[in-house]
Amino acid sequence: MDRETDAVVIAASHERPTAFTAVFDRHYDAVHRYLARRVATDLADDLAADTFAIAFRLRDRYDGAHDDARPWLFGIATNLVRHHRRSEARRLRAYERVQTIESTELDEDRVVGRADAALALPRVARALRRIPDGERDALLLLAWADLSYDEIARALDIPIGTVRSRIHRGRERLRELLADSGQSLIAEAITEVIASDG
Amino acid sequence: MDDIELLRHLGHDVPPADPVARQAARDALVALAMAPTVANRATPRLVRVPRLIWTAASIALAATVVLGVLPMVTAPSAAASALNRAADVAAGLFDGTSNGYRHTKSVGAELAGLGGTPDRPNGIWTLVPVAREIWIAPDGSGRLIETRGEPTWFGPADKAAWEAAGRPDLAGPAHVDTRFGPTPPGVDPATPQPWPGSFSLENVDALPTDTAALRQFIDRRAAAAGAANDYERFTIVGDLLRETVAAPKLRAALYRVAAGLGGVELIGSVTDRAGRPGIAVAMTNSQSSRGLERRTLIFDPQTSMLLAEEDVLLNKVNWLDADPPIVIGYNTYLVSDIVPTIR
Repeated sequence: MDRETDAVVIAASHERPTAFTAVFDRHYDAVHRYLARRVATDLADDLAADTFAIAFRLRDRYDGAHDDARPWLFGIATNLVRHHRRSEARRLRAYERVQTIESTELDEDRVVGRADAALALPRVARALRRIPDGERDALLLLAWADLSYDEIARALDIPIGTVRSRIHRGRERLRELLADSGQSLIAEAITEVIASDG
Repeated sequence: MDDIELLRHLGHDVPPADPVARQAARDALVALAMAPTVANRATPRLVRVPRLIWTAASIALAATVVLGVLPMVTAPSAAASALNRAADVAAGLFDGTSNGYRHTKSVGAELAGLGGTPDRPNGIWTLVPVAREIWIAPDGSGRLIETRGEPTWFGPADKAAWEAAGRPDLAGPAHVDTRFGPTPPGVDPATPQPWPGSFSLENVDALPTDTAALRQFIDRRAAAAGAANDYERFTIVGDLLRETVAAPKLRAALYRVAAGLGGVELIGSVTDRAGRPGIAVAMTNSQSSRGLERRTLIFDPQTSMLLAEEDVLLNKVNWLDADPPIVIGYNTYLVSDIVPTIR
């Protein structure tokens, strides 16, 4: 038997509030992981808890036409991150210091690429820290929350055209900043390695 | 370069959630769910960064030329007549083509803010003036320059909250100068794509100028955006007029499509923020998460060119410290032409 959609669970929670815990059980880990990549771990714990508490209080506003509550939850989480930009900047600085790529079964050529990737990711983190907040939010919802453009639009409550332009501008800036740091060619090579790693 | 893939590897190794923290969060949620009714009552809507990216003039001017407060909204059929007249004007113009850059210079204001915290669920909001200039080549590449000014507050409560929060950045970068690449080949214009304006000019030039065919395209586009309704179609008409320097025959078809939409209202003769006479039509969206929202397009009756746009909230909302009608975004197109080079 198929499980109930998030929309059904949320609707049921109006009559039976504890039903909302099913939304928590389904999505806490993903929301926490997204937050833990953006801010300090301790803060991610707090913000993940806040995300679901806010979602519970706001459940009357949930649009039942959308079965999947992930965009809504990631939108709340992203709003919470906006109040902790310093922590986010610290997290990105930490990525600048230490970052590796997991990969297996690399041949010799790709080992070279892997080493280059290890060099590039800190610069990606640095570039990410320097792009505007709105563009970073959209990019990270795409890359870290695995949301589609349409879902990002729902998460941020902006038109899909704005999502597209933010992601486009964010990527352009990212490339420019990587180019400024002499990493464009390296990043290109690295991406090929990553892509081929699947 | 697929930088998104690169991003996906950044921070990929964060540890999983601490089971103790997870359980504590779940317990807190259960406690909240089991609390008395007051605790379970829905709180005000979580307001997030809004739908509009408008560009910009002074807010002081907004107060004196508030198109949104004009009460003379008339029957939809009058709007259809006005739009069909605009279509006739456009259809009578020379439909020459050019390989130059579509160049648009505009001023306006965009809503910017922070919101959605437990202690301040309604957020901190401001209107930020933005001047924008864009050049787009036939292949979709081009240059965009944006300059943002000082935010204007809707009310004292927003400013006080902003100061109490340590004056966080709300407006984004003061100056942006970006060059963007060409549109990838083989793209379906009805499918949302990641570039400024979301339509390449080759796509725009290739759009049907037959009204029924264009309406079909707009229907597909609206469906792809997840909002197959007339408000979205009206918005797409605006998208195709905005910064595209659409050729007269396309403009004619766009106005005829708009004339066929349900709920378009004629506001009438207005003067835009640049002091130019225009005809305003509008559509009201009662389903917007922001409130009862009216989107207005103003066009030049002599040329049918888009002169300006505006978004206004018509009702009192709990997320803005202002009384309706509240202008939440506008854009005035000062220059729309085709030029041989990027400045």
